This record gives sequence, C-alpha cells and structure tokens, in this order.
Amino acid sequence: MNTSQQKSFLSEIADGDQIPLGKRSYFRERLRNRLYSFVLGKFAIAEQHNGLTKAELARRLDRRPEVITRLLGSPGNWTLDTVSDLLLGISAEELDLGSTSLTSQSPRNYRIPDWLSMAPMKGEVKNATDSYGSNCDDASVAEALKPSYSSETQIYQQKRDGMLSALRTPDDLYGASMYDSGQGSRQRSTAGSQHGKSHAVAMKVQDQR
Amino acid sequence: MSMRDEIRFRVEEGRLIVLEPALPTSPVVRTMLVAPNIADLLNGPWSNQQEEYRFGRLRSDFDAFIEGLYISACMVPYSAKTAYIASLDPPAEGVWEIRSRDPKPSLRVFGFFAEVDVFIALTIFNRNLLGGSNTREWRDAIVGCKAEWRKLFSPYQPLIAETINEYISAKVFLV
Repeated sequence: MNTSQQKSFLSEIADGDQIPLGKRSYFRERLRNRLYSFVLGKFAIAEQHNGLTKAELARRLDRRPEVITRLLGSPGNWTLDTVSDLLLGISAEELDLGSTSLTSQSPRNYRIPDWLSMAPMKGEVKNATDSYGSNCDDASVAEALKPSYSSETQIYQQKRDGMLSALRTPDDLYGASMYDSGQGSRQRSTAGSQHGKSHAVAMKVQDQR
Repeated sequence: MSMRDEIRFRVEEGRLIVLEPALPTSPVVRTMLVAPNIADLLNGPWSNQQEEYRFGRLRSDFDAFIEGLYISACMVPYSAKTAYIASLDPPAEGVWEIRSRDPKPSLRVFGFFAEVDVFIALTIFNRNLLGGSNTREWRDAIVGCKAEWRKLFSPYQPLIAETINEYISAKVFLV
C-alpha cells in the first residue's frame, strides 16, 4: 500500500527543535482553512434556519454583495477583522478562543478508507483494458477501445514530442511530470523533480521569517 | 471489477498514492489520491525554502479536502475564480481543478472524481504558465489530464454528475 509519508510530521514540534518552514506554512494555511470552514458552517446554519442570504449579510456589514460572495468563496484575503465581521453578521457571535496540544492527542486509527486498505485479490486482472467492470457500460468500453479513441492521445503525444516546447511544463518548475504518471514514472519523476527544482521559478514567499 | 478495484491496483502498482492527512489526529472524511510526482512535491525534499513553503500550503489545502472541512466549489466554468475546487470547461468531461492560491504564483491541481468524495489528482501546474482562460495552454493541460486518466483507468469513466452533492456529499459551498 503506497501512502503519503507520515513519519514524524510533528517531530520537531514535539522535540522543541526549530520548526521547518514547510510545517509552519502548513499550519498557517490550516488555520486559515479551519477558520473558513467554521464561518461557512455558521453561514450554512443561518441560511437554513434563519433564511440568511448573501445579500442580507452584505447589507448588515455595509459591503457590496460581490464582496460578500468573494469572501465566502475563499479565505485568501481574510484578516482577523474579516472573521470578526462575518461572525457578527452571520450569527451575532464572536470567536471563542482556545487551543489544543498537537502532541498529546492519540492518533486516529482510521487513516485510509477500508476499501482502499484491502489488498487486491489474487487472480484479479490488473490491466483495466483487460476486463470490463460492473460500473462500466458497454458503450463506454467500445468507445474507449476502438482505435480512433487514441486520436486525442496522438495529438497530445505529438505535442509532447515537440509542439509543447513553447509551453513551460511543471517539469520546468517543480519536477511534476505533466504527462507521465505511468508505470515507472516514480523513478522518472524523482529524477525530473531534481532537474526541475533547479529551474524553479522564483516564488514570492510571504512571512518566511 | 469495479472502479474501486482499479484504484486499489493503481495504488499497489505505485501509480497512485493515497494521501493521508499530515496530522495523525486529523479525521479522514474524504479521499484523495495523487500521482507520484505530486506526492513527491508534497513530501519533499525541496531544493529551497520557497518550495518548502509553497508545498506546505498545498499540503494543508489538500488536507482541508480530506478532513471534510467546508470547501467552496464551482460547477460553471469561468464563473467563480475564488472557489476551492472548480469544474473545467467542458463540465461534461469531468475534469476539475483544485486551486491553491497563496502564496503567488498560485498552483492548479487537475484531476477527476472517481466517485463521490473520492478525488484523484493527476497533474499540477503553475497558474501563471497556463495563461488566461481558454488558452491553448489550458486546453493542452486538460487534454493531458484526460490522457493521464485513460492511462490509469481506461475504459472506466470518471464521475460525471449534475449536482455538486453527487461529487462532494457534504460541507460544500457552491459559489
């Protein structure tokens, strides 16, 4: 079973070591996403039980409706003031502060859905094109297997062979293999990532320090 | 065989990675599988602090999906640029993008729903390099994502549905 690496994500935090930038950025984004989810949950309740609309919320907060739509669509530009305003306008509430230890909680056992943790049964056909699944209708199978099916792929292969040279692929940026995740791609992508990372574009980093 | 069997095989083959939340205490509500190259980007090692910072944010955005937090979604192409996840044009092809906007340049992760609450992320792009809406780069990126799906799952089709709750069962805010 191939899963993402989970080993000691909290190790530096638990050990009192310097916390890597990537983990600090993870928790910054996590806070933003959790705040967003919290406020959206409040809005969903108010919408369902009190008939609150975005237009009414805009009126309460003296903002244009499109601003409210944008704020509820993404937490990207939220500030603490935004959270305060939205909670007041949505549910006449303020944020109740608290914090939780990351290192003293018990890990959850359920990390992967049950159906994914089951090993494939012996004798099952591994190649999707070798068998027709129960949720795969005949028409789609016929369409997928007929020779002309690959016309789009041919176009894409032609582009990969040269026509895409004008398009800077993620290989140039992050080592992400844009058109290759087939068998053996992990080795290629790893090599590609090293190549690509050396050509990574400069990205503006906020609050690095 | 079912679509789930196919996914399990691709995972066994190492062609897809089951993404677990970074925190061992986080709940797993939705499922995300990623192409190995995307997993590499999430897990590092990174060549510089900019990358480490950027992909830490992306990892957190993925975990928001897995943990079942509220996310915003848009089913009408070009209509809601702020949504967390959006259907790409044409919606009938089932290609979606997850947007990780902060910090700039933002990232776009293309993929498909295999079933409700199961997203398969196949390709990743720097948004700046895709240009404006409906450019050749966008079309090529969508074609490339579809080709990835076919390489992994042909002849199975991705989930194509009418309503957002057929893709994301709960805690989704349609914008």
